[in-house]
Amino acid sequence: MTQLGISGGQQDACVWALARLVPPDALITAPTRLRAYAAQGFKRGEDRAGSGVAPLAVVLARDTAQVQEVVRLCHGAGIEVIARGAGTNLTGANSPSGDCVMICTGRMRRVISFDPVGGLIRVEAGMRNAEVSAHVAAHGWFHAPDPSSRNSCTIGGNIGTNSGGGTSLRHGVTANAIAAVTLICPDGTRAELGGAGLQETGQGLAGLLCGAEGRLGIVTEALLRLCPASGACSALLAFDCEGAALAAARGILRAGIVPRQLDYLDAAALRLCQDHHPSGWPVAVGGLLLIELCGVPEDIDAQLGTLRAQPGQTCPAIVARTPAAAQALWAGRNRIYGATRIRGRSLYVDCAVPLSQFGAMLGRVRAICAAARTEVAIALHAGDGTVHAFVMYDPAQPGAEARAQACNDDIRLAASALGGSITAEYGVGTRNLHLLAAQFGPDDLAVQRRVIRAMRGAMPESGTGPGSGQRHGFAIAPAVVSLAAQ
Amino acid sequence: MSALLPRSEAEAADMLRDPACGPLHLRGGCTRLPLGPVSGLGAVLSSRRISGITRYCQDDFTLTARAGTRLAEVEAAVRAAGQRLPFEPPHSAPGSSPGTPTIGAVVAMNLSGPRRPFAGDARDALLGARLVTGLGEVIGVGSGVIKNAAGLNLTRALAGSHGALGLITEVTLRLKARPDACLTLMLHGAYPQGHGPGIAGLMGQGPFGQGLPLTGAAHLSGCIAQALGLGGEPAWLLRFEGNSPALRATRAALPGWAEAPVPTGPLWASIRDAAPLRPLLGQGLWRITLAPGHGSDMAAALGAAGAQTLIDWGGGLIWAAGTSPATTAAIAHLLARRPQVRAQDLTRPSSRPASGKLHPLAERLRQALDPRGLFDTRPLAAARTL
Repeated sequence: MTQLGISGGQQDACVWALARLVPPDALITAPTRLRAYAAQGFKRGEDRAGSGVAPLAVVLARDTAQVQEVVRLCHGAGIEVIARGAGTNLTGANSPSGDCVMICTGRMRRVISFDPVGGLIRVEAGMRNAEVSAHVAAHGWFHAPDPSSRNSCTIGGNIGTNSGGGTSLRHGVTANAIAAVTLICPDGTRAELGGAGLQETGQGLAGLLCGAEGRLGIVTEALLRLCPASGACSALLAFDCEGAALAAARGILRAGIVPRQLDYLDAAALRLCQDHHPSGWPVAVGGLLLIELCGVPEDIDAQLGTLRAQPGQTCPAIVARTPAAAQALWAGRNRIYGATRIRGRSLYVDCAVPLSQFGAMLGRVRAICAAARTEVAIALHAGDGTVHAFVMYDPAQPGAEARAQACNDDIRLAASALGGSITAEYGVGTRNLHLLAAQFGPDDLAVQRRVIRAMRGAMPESGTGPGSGQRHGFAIAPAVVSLAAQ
Repeated sequence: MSALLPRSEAEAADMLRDPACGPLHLRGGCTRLPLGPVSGLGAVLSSRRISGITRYCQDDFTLTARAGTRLAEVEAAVRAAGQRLPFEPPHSAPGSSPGTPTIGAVVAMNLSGPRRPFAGDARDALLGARLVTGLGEVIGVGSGVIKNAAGLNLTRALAGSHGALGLITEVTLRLKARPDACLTLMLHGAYPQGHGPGIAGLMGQGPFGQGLPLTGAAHLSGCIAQALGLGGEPAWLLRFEGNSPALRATRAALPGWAEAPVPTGPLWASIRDAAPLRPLLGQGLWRITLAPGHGSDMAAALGAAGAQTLIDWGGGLIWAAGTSPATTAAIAHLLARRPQVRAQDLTRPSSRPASGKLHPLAERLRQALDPRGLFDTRPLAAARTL
């Protein structure tokens, strides 16, 4: 008997039923293959997050209809279902238990419709983030949310974690780009939420799914609102000290410039990037800003004037006016995750603070890591408050990993104490679940749990009247409830 | 009908925790007519006395204000610091009551103006909020910072919920810098017949796609243009906001367009509030929302029916007015044959649904936040027609 009270016989029956429902090449039941689905994150095992427990079976779904069939089957059998995109999540969100069936949407990569005039594209959830922009580029559009994993992560996964990236400053995050979704609810019903209009009923519910980490159902299709592509130009500003760089970021924003991206790298981060992927950056500087501007050439020139006027620069600004030159300039920053993995073992810590608290937060991060005797490199999305701390350690040293994990917690708690958020982009998952109480009060979390239960199909427990305390409606896997009850 | 006017969040919570608390209709500044009859309701619960800006740091580009804070007060505070609410909320609308809109009601109704397709709506700008649930719980949702991936994204559902999920007591909004200069270019001409790209075509492949700082795209029929001092011919209007070099480049990029003879600020405030349509309210007035790319087809049909139209949101919002009983009947007949189009008839409130029935998932969410069913859901249900 499993944790869910499901017998081995019931599990076998479910697997047999799945085998009759989906083709052999779409069903994984062999333990050796299931192990790959026990965790998520980067390919190398050291950075992967999750329960470490393989699911009962994995279905490589073909389309919305098949997802619905599988969910209905499992619901009828009392078997929990969880979704997975490309498995790039860094916090162990939607981790499997040994009693659940995992539905992977990675094969669902079709473009269902594209409106090149209105800038709307409907795609299946397994479409890769970067594929969307590639599909619409010839028509003058692009898909704005740009997480670092955009070449491999899926639209469904982006919705689950409300992914953003450097372009969030100008274009927002995934929730801002979603016009509508097709949702398969935990009980197998299909819901169409939102629409193409700018004020459609259901767009609030579609947005609610963003960041819900798959707990409210499986998104199988999404209607995305695209952004017009326009001329762009990148620039690198190098500063003699961190204070000057942060002041320059403030000055740029105060001047009314809204860059597409505005990133700060501290001295440790730029050394890390340059050691592993030289991009022609100035050396021996206190910190640098990487900026992507957009607009017509005259507008960009005016913005560049403002950039060049920021005090404390150690050398003339490096300007990249062509896409190839810009890609080369950003290459080091875009490969920072790879750089940390080449360097050794790292924990990736993301959080957010008010823009005015960047200086205080950077000091806190370094103090926390110094006390833990761990190395840290820091990158900021300087226009939206995101702090990326790359905590690097030697796993061969006794206690190093535990100290690094403690840094993860302390850094996130420091952000919350400064009025920010424990996570800016990666989400809570299982890795950061224990920190939610730092950001939300008991009543806040109680209501969130109630909403999750209600949206999943169980009536909220009112605590009064006959039958109180009993769940109505559909089975809810205790693993899910306990996850929500943290 | 009685009105409950708590002075604080705690007082509102006490009211809602009272077991004797009956059905309530939630309001802010009471400037919007209730959608549907309010007879049979216990009382109106208004947040308008829970007011005041509680946190504003210019460098953070965020502002936190209690829900009853007047919209004008919020806008004045951020304007003084060279910033603005990106979604350009209307201050009034045809059929609205005289009074001062509050920032909480703006969020609750997701009210957004001409900049909507270019800068997002109120929902997009809402970072965090506090509210009192139907059980009298005081909770916070979202956060006070621009980026947050923790917790359920309840701000997305709260914006536009029309008071069905709880009494909003505080909101935190994202701000943007106010550009240095603005410009409105005008081109006379009727809306394209048939399946032309219309205004939407100006966005993806047009000025917006070329990188010009477009922040407003509208079309006015002859009478509406006349009322705004733009002459009696139908006219396209494009608003650009940015630095001076960008606006010079804009003029050069659109040589066939002339600068509008009316200052940009007041002109677009009138468009934002659909001011020229107020006198036409008694003759038949509809507010229609649809996908911007489909606006040209609808606009052409309305024009053929004799409607006077103000098209905003790059084609995604159409105000259509009848100028005679025959025209009004033609418009009504046209809209009746297009049930997929969301059209609100502003002259016939009784045509709005009396039922508060919601989408099944919306009903689950509502029950989680208001298990006792205190809050009137009819405004949210009626919003399905918006």
